[in-house]
This record gives sequence, structure tokens and C-alpha cells, in this order.
Amino acid sequence: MVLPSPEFTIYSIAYGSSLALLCLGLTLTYMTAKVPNFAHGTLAILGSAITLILIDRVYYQFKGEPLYYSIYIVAPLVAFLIVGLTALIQYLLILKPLAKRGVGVIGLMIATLAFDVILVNMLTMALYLAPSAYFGKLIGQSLKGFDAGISILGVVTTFSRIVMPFVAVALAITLHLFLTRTKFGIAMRASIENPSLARTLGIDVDKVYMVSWFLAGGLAGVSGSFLSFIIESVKPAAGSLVIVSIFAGSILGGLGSIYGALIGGFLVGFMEPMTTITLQNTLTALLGKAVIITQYQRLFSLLVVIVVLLLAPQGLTGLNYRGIIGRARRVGGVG
Amino acid sequence: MASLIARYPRLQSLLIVVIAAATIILALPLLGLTITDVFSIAIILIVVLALNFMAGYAGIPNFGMALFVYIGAFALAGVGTRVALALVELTSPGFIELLRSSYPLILGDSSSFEVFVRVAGDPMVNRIVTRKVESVIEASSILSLTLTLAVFGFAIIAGALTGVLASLAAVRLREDYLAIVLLAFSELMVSVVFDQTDALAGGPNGAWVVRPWPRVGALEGLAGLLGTIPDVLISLAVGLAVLAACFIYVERMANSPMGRMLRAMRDDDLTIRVYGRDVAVTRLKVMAIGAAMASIAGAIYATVYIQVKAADTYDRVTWTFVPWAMMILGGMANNWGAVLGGIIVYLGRKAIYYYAPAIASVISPILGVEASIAGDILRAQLPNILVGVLIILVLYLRPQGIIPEKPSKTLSRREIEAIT
Repeated sequence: MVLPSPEFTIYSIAYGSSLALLCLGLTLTYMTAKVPNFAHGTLAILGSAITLILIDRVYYQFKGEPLYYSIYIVAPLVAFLIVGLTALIQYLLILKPLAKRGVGVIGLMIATLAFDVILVNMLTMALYLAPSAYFGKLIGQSLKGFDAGISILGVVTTFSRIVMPFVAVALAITLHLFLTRTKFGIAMRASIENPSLARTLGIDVDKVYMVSWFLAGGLAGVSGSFLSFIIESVKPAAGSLVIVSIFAGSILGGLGSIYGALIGGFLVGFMEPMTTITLQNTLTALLGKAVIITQYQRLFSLLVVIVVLLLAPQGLTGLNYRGIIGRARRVGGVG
Repeated sequence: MASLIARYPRLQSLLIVVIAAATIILALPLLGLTITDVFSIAIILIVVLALNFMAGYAGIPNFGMALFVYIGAFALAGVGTRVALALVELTSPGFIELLRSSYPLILGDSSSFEVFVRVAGDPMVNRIVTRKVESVIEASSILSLTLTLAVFGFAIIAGALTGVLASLAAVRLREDYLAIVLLAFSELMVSVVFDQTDALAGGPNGAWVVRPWPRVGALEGLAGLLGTIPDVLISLAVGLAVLAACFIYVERMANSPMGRMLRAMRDDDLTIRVYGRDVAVTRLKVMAIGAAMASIAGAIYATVYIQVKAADTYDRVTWTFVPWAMMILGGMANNWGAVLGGIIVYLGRKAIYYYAPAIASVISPILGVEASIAGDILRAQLPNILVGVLIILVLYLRPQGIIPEKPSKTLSRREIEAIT
């Protein structure tokens, strides 16, 4: 077995952190609307596209200057607002009225898929037709060259990869404090758990759901903004593959707990590149010739979905750990 | 008029059919529809009927249709090419050796096995060998018939198996999990496994197929009456025949005890569990049949669109999303509705495609983009956006679709009296 390099491990941690935020958002919307949002991957790509446009219009001229570092604050913030609003529009204009009219789960799912197709194609149109200052053609560009380099303890990496995990942890802690320490946060948990009871207590469930969708979209925007420096090229169609990893992380997390989503998302995002590269290096060493399997990386996510649904459909948070430990003890005692 | 429809409720659907037929006839010359358009409509309608069987009647949210259609195309591009080469090599031994000596630069140092891999995996070898093989296959009606049977046999079996495999992980779970798994499986198989592996069917470059129909040229000698018929007409005839067969099958099935069971499962799976039916097994059966139907559609499609590229041609929007839109517009769990919706959406997309340059010439000065570029982009994106909007509007305004679901047919009074 050949272990991945520290550089690659940092990359995987950053990717895992951004996926954790995406899974958190998906789970949040799943818990409120009771329907998986098939457009969530594209919401993240919208965040990436916003970062791309910011660099193209404003930041390319500051490249190398200290001012350039402000992009790591400005881009996620702008993406948070715009993508959050997009998700809110999706909820208010599509899902809420349809659910009110009694459209079933299948209808709601195809509606989110429809929104995904609309979003992807509008984004494609915008990126092709928008006049560009720097790139010429915005679509399909790689932003890797626009990520500030940094070296820590001799490991050469990039700024976004270092910042991303901290941002994810900070956002997770903020959300935790929000949900447990503030009145609105507690009302939010109540409305998600039992909407009718919450309504009886005078909680505006509707407002809570709106905030959930805005937050979910916003987090997807932040995540996508950082992802834009990691993925090969920023193109709208990329969302259709990212969504598979988002579902994998969320299903691993149980689709019913935001803490599960954070853990599941990070695990899938971290393990996906790490497993692939380890397998690739090991195969190369064993066979004595270069083997490339990184293009199949996403199959790991599919594998996670299939294995989790076959063995423990309720995910990590739904497992009966006491039972498992007890059984392990008993087996140990017998053995 | 309104009172007439109220008195004769059947008149309403008849009226819609007449209007739809008139629309089609009127739209034909206007949009420059060709025989390949009619062919494409036939193929997409088979896919819509398969989807209606799975989603409309059985309640399986199949978000992975694209994969099943692609499997059929793969039966030609990945399997058919190799079967054809094997057939030629078996009947006239030394064919591969001849290829090697004719193209020493390309095939000189390839073993026979490598030739079999590269005939679908390497674009250059694929292009040369498929043409050579096709000319041999064409000459013999037995060879071409064998190839046709092999290709369609593979499409049916592999399609059914893929349908079962794709849904296996979530077949016992709720619909939303099933939808996620089907989408993820289809997406990754088409755009990662098949599109990234050259050895299967050319990867991103795709592969040209060996057209399988029993050659009219060979039959000509026997019949002496038919002139040479263009391939596309044979494909069209087969497409229409399969469409008719699928329609009759799904329609008859819907009115059989099996169909009633599927509807009961869709509405509440507890009802069929009470009667001792296994939801998972029933769903797997439906997946196998529906996926096989979609796979046949893909195989016929590839006989006309003979360059098969996985992610490029068999993309999620065209083969999963658009069929869903057609079914929802026409009316889920209604086959006439599915057909009507299919034709309307196809013509609608075609019309937008047709008028896109005109729209582009208006907006391009405002945006400061060249009209031709804007036209190309509008052509590619606008139909998809409008289909997305259409789905949401139909779900909001008329969730049951143009022709709503009918209660399943029961025995006529005379038949019931005859039994009792």
C-alpha cells in the first residue's frame, strides 16, 4: 500500500469539508420539504460560477497583490447571498406552491430536477453570452491558477485548501450554537421535528422553512466558491456529478440529522480521493506500470450509496450503536 | 360545444386526438420535419411508454432512463461491432490477418484479441474495420440476420439486467431513495464508466456501429420485387412496429390484474402486501421489463444515429428529463396521453430550435454577441429551459396531464353475465 502525499491529504480534507457543507444543506432541505433536492449540486456550481465571474471582472488585475486575498472573503460572501436567494426562490416559487396543491413526492422530485435543468441551462447561457474581461470565454475555465500558493511546514499547497476546513468548522459551530442557543434556532428544530405541534405553539413554521432553504443554498454557495479552486473546470454540467457525492454523504449521514450530514459528507469527500489515489498508487506499484483510475473516482460515492442503502438504510446516525457494541462484547466474550 | 362534451365525455379525448393530429400535419411542412424526425418521435415514444409503465403505473421514479437507452445503443456499438467481426472471421477465416496486412501501421502488431478490443475501442480502427465488416455482412442475409438477432437479444437481456441492478439497492425503500439511486447509478455508468473507458465502446470518442438489418440487397435476389430500400426506412418501420407492440403491451397490462396490482402498489404498497405480494420483487420485475423496452429503443435509435457516444448522445436531459416532461404533460398512467405529450413536446422543442436564430438576431445586438453564436447557444439551451418550465407549470395547473388516468377497464356486463 502506498499512502498519499501530504499535499494530497490536504486537498482531500478541503474537498471533504466542502462536501460536508453541501450535505448539511441537502439534509436541511430534505428535513423541511421531505424531498431530495436534485438541484443542490448545481446550486454549488452557481457559487463556483460567481467566483469565476468575480475573478474575471475584478480580481485578475490584483493577482499577486495583498489585496487579492480578500477574494477568499468576498467571493464566499457574495455566493452565500446569491445562491441562498436562489434556493429560497426554488422553495417559494416551486416546491411550496406545488406541495400546497397536493403534488406527491415523485412530482416534487421531478420539479426539483426541472429546476436543476433550468438552472444549468440558464447558467450555461449566461456564461457563454456574458461579455468577459479576462478569460474571453468564461465557461469551462479552470481557476487553479488563481488560487494563492502557500507553504506550511514544507508542504506546498494553496490558500483555499487551508482556509476551507476552517470555514467549514466555523460554520458548523455557528450553526450548532444557532440551533441550540437562540430562540429562533430552537423554534427551527421544533418545526422540523414536528411542524403541527410547533404551529400550535405559535411558531411561524413557514418562516423557519424559508430560513432553512436560504441557509442550505447559502452554504452550497460558500462550498461551491471554494470548490471552484479545486475542481478541474467550472462548468454548469459539473453539478450533475457533484450531486451523486452529495447524496452519498447525506445518505451515509442518515438524511435526518445535520450532524450526521456533516460527518457523512466529510467522510465521503475525504475518502473518495484518498481511496482512489491509494488504490492507484498500490496498483501501479504492484503491476510495475502506470495505472490511472482517478477518472473513476466518483464511483466511490455510488458504492457508498449502494452499500449504505443495502446494509443500513438509516445511515450512521440511525445505527443502534449500543446494540452493536453489546453484540461485539458478547461475541468477544464467547470467543 | 361545452354541453356536447359534457354529454359525451369520450368526445373530449377524441377532440384532443383530432387537434393533436391536425397540429402534427400542420407542423410537418412548417418545421421541415423529415423521415428521421418521425423516426426520432417513434423512438422517444417507446421510451416514454416504458417510463409510463415504470413511473405512471408502478410508481417507480425512474430518473435513470438515459442509462437503459444507452445500454441498447451499446449493444450495437460495443457488442454488435465485435459480434460482426467474429461472424466475418468465422465464415471467411483469415479476415483479421487480411486487415492486419492491409493496415500495417494501425493494426500491424495487434494480436487478434487486441483487434477485437480496438474494433470498438479505438476510433481509427473502429472506422476502418466497421466499414469493411459491414460490406461483408451486407452481402449475406444469413450473417446480417444473425447479427440482428444477436444485437437485439443482447439489448433486451442486458437492458433487463441493468434495470434490476440499478434499482437493487433501494428497491425495498421509499420512492425518494429509489429515485436517488437510479439517478446516481445512471449518471455514473453513462458519464463515468462508459464515457471514460475506451475499451468498452470508444469512451468519449464513441464508436460507429455495424448496421444490423437483414440487407434488402440480399433479399432482393429472392423477392426480385423490392428495390433497395434506404436503411432509415427499415429502422423507421421497425421503430413503429416496436412502438405499436409496446403500446399494446403496456395498454393490455394496465387493464390486467397485474396492472391493477401495480396501481395499487403505486398508491399504497400496503394494499398489495396485504394480499401477499412482495413489493420489492414486483418493482424489480417492472424495472426489468421497462428497462428492456428502453434498451430496445436505444438499439433501434443507434441503427440510424450510427455514431454512439455515451455522455454526448445519451445525456440525462434528452433521455430522462424530456421523456418525463412528455409523460407528465400527456398524463401519467395514460398511454394515449404519453403518446400525445411525446409528440407535442418533440414538436415544441423542434419549433424552438427552428425559431432560435430569429430570437438570437433580436437579442444579440443588446448583448453585444455575434448573432450566430447567440443562435447556437439559444438552440442548445432554450428548449431545455422551456421543458423545465413546462413541467413545473403542468404540475401546478393540471397535475393529471392533458388526458388524465382512466379507471382500469372491467369486464363488460355481457361477459360477467356469461360467467355467472
